[in-house]
Amino acid sequence: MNIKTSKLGEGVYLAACKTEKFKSAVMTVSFAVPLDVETASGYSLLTNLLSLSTGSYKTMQSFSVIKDELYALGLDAYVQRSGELLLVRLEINTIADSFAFDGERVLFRATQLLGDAIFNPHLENGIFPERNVETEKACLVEEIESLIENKPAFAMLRARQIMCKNEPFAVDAGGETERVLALDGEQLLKFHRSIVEIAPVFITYAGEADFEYVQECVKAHLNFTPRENKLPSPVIHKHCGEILRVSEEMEMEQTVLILGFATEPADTAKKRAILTVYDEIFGGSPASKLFMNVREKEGLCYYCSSYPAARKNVIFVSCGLEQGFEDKATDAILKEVESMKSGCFSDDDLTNAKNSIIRALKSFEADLNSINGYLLSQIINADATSVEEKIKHITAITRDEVISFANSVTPELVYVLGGANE
Amino acid sequence: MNSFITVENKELKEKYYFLTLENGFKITVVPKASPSFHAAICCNFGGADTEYKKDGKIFTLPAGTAHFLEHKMFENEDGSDSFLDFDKFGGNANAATSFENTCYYFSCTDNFYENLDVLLKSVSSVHFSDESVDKERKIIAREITMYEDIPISTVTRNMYKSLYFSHPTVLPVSGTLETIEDITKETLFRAYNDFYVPSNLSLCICGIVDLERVANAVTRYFPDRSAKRPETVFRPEPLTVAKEQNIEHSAVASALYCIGIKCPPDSTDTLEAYRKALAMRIAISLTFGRASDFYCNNYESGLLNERFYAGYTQSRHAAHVVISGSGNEYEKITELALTELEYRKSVFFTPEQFLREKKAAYAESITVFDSDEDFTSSLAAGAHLNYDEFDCLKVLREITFDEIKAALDSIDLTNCAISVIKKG
Repeated sequence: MNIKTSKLGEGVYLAACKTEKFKSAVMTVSFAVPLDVETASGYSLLTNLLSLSTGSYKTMQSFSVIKDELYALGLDAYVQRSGELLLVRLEINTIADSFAFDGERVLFRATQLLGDAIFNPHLENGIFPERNVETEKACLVEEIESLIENKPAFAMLRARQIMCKNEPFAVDAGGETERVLALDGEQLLKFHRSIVEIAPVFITYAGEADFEYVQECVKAHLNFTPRENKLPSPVIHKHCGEILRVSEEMEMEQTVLILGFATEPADTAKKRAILTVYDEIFGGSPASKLFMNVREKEGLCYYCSSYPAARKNVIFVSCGLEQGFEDKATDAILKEVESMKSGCFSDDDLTNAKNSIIRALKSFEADLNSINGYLLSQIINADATSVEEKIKHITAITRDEVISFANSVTPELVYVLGGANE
Repeated sequence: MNSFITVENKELKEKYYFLTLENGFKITVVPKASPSFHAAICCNFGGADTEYKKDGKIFTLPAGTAHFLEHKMFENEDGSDSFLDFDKFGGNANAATSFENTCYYFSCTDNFYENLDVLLKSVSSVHFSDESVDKERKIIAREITMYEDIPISTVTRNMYKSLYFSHPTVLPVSGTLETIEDITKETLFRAYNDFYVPSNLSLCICGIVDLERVANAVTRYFPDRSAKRPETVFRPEPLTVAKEQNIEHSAVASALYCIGIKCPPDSTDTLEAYRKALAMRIAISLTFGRASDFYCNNYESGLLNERFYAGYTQSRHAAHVVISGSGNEYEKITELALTELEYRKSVFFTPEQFLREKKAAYAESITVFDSDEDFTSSLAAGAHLNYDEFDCLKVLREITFDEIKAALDSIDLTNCAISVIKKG
């Protein structure tokens, strides 16, 4: 794989990976802004509008038709959480030029459309058209509220909101219904200006094009002005001093149990490697303690997995249970947390966990989205490490380092989302 | 010495090697240089195989048997879990059951042959005890209730129940809490012995591997067995629907709807049948796709949103158009969708629209080769068909405007059912 990165201007970065493995290519543009409850809804609604139409293709249908003509070009805009940053992202998923008919330069035209969506949104009288804003508000509210249809995801959001109250980490990147409904076309223009003129911007590309061609497309259609690259550091979560127990009800068949834990901050490459190994042994794989004991041995649930947050010192464990088994499952999970603290894992467990992580790291180039995710991490994080460096760190982790980290894992929340008791 | 045949598509820069062993076991190898190896074993036995004929006798299996068997396949003779064996060799394994088949797969970067050995060993023998079956039943019960908490899964399931009288798809692949109670150690042994015969199994590998070594490994684990796959029995299914409307209530943002229009089923293993299904998919995409008048006009008026979907599904002895989405005005949407289908029978699309749709379909089709994992699973599952991904692309190139129109004209709107999950 051939990866090149470039600073196109102050606060504007490009990372591209040339690979001939794929018949399509993906380019992403990510604007990084602080994750804040006051602004998340605005950015979220903005992405809906930017993917609906452009100044050149003012109707949804004309925009869809041109995308189909460009070999079903995927042009998506969405918001995404990354630790305590909000990434406002636009991306194109396009057929590789060499598979287009008649030697068409599809990437160039697709980037032009992406640039049009970013720099030339469909405005009327200088603001986003009211009818479009109202349509997209209704769509976004539907999207936000439909989270209740995914109980484990809803429970995870509630656990984050409860345990990390008053921290940016608790903010839902997709926005909140009331705040969405209060937005108008003029306010959205301010959010648009903030990404186009102020927020640091990170462009990634993965596909068959060489770096010069990618640069040509970017310079022609994604010519961002310099801006300050200033991103906030994540707030270190402090344990509240007790174990919070919260139960909420919803009409549902199965109970979702989420356990929240505070940990020591994984703020260096080495510490992140230790956290990764800990998680793999504890609950991150089908060979983990949670899967083998809570699911396979105890037969308490279909899934039981751990989720360490990216660049935030918290871990959550989620499982789906039969109603009435919450205490038994909580005890079973906490037992595994304690067993990690006392080093109840074999050298084979440690070696296998490392091998599994190294396999996953080496496999990142199998998928365009993984490559783009890796490229973004390389330009957005000042302390980014390469895959090779990550593998070196993982290989060097000792048993004592995992045990030491395990001893910082402290339970803080037991959250239960379940049906009403009969 | 085994002789693999080479199947190549130079335009796509893709090729694979294919071999059918004497016992009928099919092996496909995609020689791609990549940091990861992928392998999938697929058994042509899925959720739809609940009634079958063997030696002139009819046998039945409780719904969910194929899925239950999948859950138990990674259990070793000593009661240990094969996941730990894969883990030891750096392999990442999983399995999945659909209505059509069951697939077991792994990915790894090193120790390919050791991981392949674990996979072949797992699928070539089974070990159950009453106790382990009972324990697994509890885990599967949790999986079933998890799906019951997903309204979109329920609304789709209810549409199947409304469309079909007795086709096995009216019950979930995982079965129900009631049907899994009837699955015993004996049921699983019978299903395994009858369906996991070499001629009903296929292996697909993606990576640079020694073909002979792979063929020998398969032969070692699956010695010659003359058993043939039993024939699945499907009861006669009328084209009319079982129930026109099914309404339930649940915690949803707004009403979820799923409209089904029953179509005459076709065989699923011939290229001709694939061609007809492709024609129908293109017709539906022209009518309801993101660039269609229907979608754009009704999105702008607020009736539709991003959750709207329209497509065509074909499985063994079942076929239907599906139109789904969310919105409290589902009755109006249903009426408009059916009216649009009727209207398009008389005012069809232009050749330009047809060519654009084909271009889009071509781009979407070739992305199947982008994921080694997906391509591996697709080839393993497709080994029992009489065509492959290359044939599909050829058909896409050849398919005509008139075929698309004929597909749309064949839709009988009277065979329509709607399933709804209302808020509350």
